[in-house]
Amino acid sequence: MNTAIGKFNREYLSKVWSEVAEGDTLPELVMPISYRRVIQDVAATRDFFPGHHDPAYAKKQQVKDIYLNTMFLQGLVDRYVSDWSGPEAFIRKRRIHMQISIAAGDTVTINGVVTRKYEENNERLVDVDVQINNQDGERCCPSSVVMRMPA
Amino acid sequence: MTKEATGADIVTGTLEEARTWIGKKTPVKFNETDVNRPMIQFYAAAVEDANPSYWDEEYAGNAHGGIISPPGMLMAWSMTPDWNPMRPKSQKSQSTFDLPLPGTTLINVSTESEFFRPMRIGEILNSDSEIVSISDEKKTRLGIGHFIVTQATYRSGAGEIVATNTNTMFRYIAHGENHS
Repeated sequence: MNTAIGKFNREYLSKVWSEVAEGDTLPELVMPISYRRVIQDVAATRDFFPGHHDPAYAKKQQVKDIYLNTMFLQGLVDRYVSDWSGPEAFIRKRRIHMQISIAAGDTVTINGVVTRKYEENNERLVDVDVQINNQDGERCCPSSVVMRMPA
Repeated sequence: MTKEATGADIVTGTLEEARTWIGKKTPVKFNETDVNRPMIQFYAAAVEDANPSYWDEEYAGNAHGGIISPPGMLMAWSMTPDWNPMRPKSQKSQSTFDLPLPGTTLINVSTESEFFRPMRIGEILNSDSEIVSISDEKKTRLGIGHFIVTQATYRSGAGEIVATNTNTMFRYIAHGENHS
């Protein structure tokens, strides 16, 4: 663990590469997706594509209600892995695959596992697989992240 | 014809027309919004990201020389405000919305990003992109259409590559859509 101090003497812990092992699991995260959160997403990303704010348009698209956009899911995956690693890790690569839209009214459960630990071009890296499932256990958004970690 | 509450301004055409776009790089587009703290914190709040790189100036100052952008905001910085009096009237976006395909709506399918360094407050990033491939007609749960793969490169004002994106989008006619 590395420790860094911030404002008001807050302490921030970061995992170091040597303490991570392949097969390590990340703590589960549950997040209810309210209308309010979908609209926060629209406002935060300024993505005014109607599927994200107009339920009638979303239904016409064959999605049950207004749904989260790509940028929200990217931010959620990044937040999920950095909650675990601490702030010193750097996201080098991230892939998200949106198989089933996540709409207002859904609740997502996120799980992750370290699949690979390696060094490449002088970077200490770990690969983390992240699954975002909905309340019916459907795999909505399988994702993977390559993180560079401190020594 | 049914009345729509909102539309998405999508240009339609044929697959043959659309495929003439493959491999043509767009002109470099400069973001209309600089990387800024209020938007960073609004976004971090939406996903409840407590990373001090986005919130704590003291921590971020020591770690990065200041507050940085979450990587997930890469595309958010290039989103254009709905209205901007300074935008040149002639500006054509050449986005996947303008790609002439039969599909009347679209949904994003997957995005793969690579980051080379953090995006810093005050930066105005720019990008160019090109369409790499357009699939033959495919049928999914949502409808019938084409998968479009686009590659984009994001640079700093000095031309340094900050990130790259490979994106797959589905342009489709939704099942049950009224054609009359």
